[in-house]
Amino acid sequence: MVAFVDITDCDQVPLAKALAGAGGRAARARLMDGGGVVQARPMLWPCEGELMNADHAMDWPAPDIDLYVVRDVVAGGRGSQLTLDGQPLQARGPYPGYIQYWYENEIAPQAWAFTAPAKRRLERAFLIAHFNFVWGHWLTEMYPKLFLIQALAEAGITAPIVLPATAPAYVARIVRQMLPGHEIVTYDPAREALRIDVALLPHMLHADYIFHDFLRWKLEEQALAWPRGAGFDKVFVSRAGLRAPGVFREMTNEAEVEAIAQDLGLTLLRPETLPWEDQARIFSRARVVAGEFGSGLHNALLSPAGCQVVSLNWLVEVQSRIGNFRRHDVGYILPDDGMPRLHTVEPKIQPFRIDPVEFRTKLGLAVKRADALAAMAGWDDGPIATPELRL
Amino acid sequence: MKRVLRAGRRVASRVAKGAAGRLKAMIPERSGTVLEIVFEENVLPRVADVLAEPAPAAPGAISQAIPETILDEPETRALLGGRSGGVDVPPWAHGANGALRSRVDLVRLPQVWHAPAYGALFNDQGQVFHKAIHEALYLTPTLGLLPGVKVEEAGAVFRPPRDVPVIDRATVFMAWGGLHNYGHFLIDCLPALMTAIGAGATERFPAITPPLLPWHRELLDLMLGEGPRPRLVEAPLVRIEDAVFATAMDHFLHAPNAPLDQVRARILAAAAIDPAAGAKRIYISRRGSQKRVLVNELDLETALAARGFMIVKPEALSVHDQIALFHQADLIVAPAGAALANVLFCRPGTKVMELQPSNFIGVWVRNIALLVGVDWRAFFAPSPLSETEIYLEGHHRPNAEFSWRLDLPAFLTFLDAAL
Repeated sequence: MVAFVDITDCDQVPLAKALAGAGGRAARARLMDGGGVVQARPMLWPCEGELMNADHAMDWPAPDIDLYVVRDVVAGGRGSQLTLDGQPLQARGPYPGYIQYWYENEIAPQAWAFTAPAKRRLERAFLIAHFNFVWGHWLTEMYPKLFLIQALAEAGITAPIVLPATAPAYVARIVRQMLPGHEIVTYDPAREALRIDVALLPHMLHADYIFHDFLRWKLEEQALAWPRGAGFDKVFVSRAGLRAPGVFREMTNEAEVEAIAQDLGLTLLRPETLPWEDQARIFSRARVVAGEFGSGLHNALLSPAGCQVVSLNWLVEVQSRIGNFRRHDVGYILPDDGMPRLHTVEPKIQPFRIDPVEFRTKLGLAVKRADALAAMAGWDDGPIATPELRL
Repeated sequence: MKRVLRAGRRVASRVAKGAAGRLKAMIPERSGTVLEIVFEENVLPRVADVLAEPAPAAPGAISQAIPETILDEPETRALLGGRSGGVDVPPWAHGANGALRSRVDLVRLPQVWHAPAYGALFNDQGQVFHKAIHEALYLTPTLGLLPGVKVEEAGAVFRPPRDVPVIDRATVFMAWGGLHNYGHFLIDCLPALMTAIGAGATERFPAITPPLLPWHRELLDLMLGEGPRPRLVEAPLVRIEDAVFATAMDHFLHAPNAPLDQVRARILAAAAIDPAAGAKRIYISRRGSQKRVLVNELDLETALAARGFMIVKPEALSVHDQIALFHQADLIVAPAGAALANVLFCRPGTKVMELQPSNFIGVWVRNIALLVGVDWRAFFAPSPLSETEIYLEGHHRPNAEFSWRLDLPAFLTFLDAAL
């Protein structure tokens, strides 16, 4: 086990005081109360398995949203991990729980430990990243922070955003798109680290993927920038281009499944081939999203209420929690042997086959449900704007 | 050796990229035009007929299409006084201050840029015309979301992108609100289009629109009949050499006037609804929405069902079916929301009871009702019951997001007294 500093329960002080130095090395300021409860929703069809059903039977309270303010830290490595007095830093809220698990079990330390010296110093900076830039993790664990930084900027609280130069190119592109004019500071993690006087750690806007309403408001608002009537709104997320080493599951009859999806009116999409703005537009208007469980399917986070989500395989609870949060109807179709193909840390190929008859039947049901609501889709997305009471 | 070569290439590539970055930094960005929102009546000369030829010189001209009228307070009090109930009933619910029916102007603008997704029209001098953009300012108060626009120290700066499609003449009628809200489309955008049609503009200035949803198309089909459909513009930005729009695009639903009556007449004629058929008492449910959650709505629905009400989920119906429901009903109970735009299709004398949470009050349904001759009354409930408090000063939380509770016994007493 690696010694690390957990600041999750550090002193809570008002925002202005936290920024002014109250609370010592680490403090947190409440930005929003948890407020709402993410309510359980029934699955599209019954699926066996306690794990799979847990999120469809219980209501979960959304977390309070804090901003963590940490002083005199060093950021480095491939994920701009923070160290406080030489020890890795962890805080639930800004970082997912598995980070701590990786520290505790020394899993893949090359991903998060760093030895490069701090060569530059920043007075104040936002830290949004961690080492896991797999798309679905970026989307759920880092991307939401940008909305909070937008709100902080509106309130006059600004600071450069630190990104490792080795982060995938889409990270800086999305940051620039959402925060135009905002300064981004990059560093080469192989050569240097950054000393930061005041590090601002925004919340992920969820705890264990129980998302806060603020994220929904911002995603809904973002979608109002695009005419919803443009283009297709039934999507099959293809993983055909993702046969890379380390991928631990493989749908052997992918071509057959994709042909059925197309036959039912879905458009095949390989999200990794599209710029984020195009992906965001497509998923923001999607009424059906189907595909193999994975990062691409998590793009349904942007899809509006009533979206029908059909997941082939089941890995973890994230898709269900996204579904409950956005009021999607989610259904899982397991491999034809009834066994989900779960994540493995060690490379392991786990082929599986989806029963084409079952897929056609269940996707057909989802399409029918979506079509039943098609006539009025998007009719109440925007507000009745009231600039002033006219009498 | 190969490794050395690859490393050498990487170094060369880094150097080249660095040099390119430095060069880019040395090249000044195109200067662009600073945008400024202008009020049409302040910058455009008022003429008798804006459609007369030759075309007005830049920046354009404005002419009146429909005059403003005011329903005087004695008249509104006679129609509304003493009918609304609940807690803290605002004076306007009883008819105080009368009712405004706003003027509609036609505006003609030569050589303008148009961002269809925002209704925006602006010219090379940076004048952004207020009535067309006003609804979109809810989303982009800085104008920073408009295509080609970047917010800089000087303000919103527009730099025209390359290869922008050019349209000779066009009527613009789609305001931003109408793209995303049924009420705004029906009560703002269709009257804007109707104004242009009525003035004979669309024959020479064909209507254009961004991509539409099925409910947009259904309403347009009903209103336009055999007439030409608006041309779809998918580009985020177009150049229009000679553009026309009607000021009804700007929140017309808050003070509706003619030609909303023509919109109503055309749609009802095309829908061909038998007013004698259908349910006579309906409740418009919002249980399918995450916005403005009425926490005891199920109890309300149960109580109303016991009084013979049909519970309606408008999001599951077609436009035609919604029009039919509103046209056939004698009594409608509904929480505030876009579905109440359908009050336009009620028969005169229909009773409409609007449930208004006190932090989300609106006068627009009342004003449509007054125009149509509907017996409108509201029941006001204290709200919000709960909302997320945001401690970040300067961040405006959407006011549409809260939950509220209706005092059910009080409302049912109010309802029963009106039956």
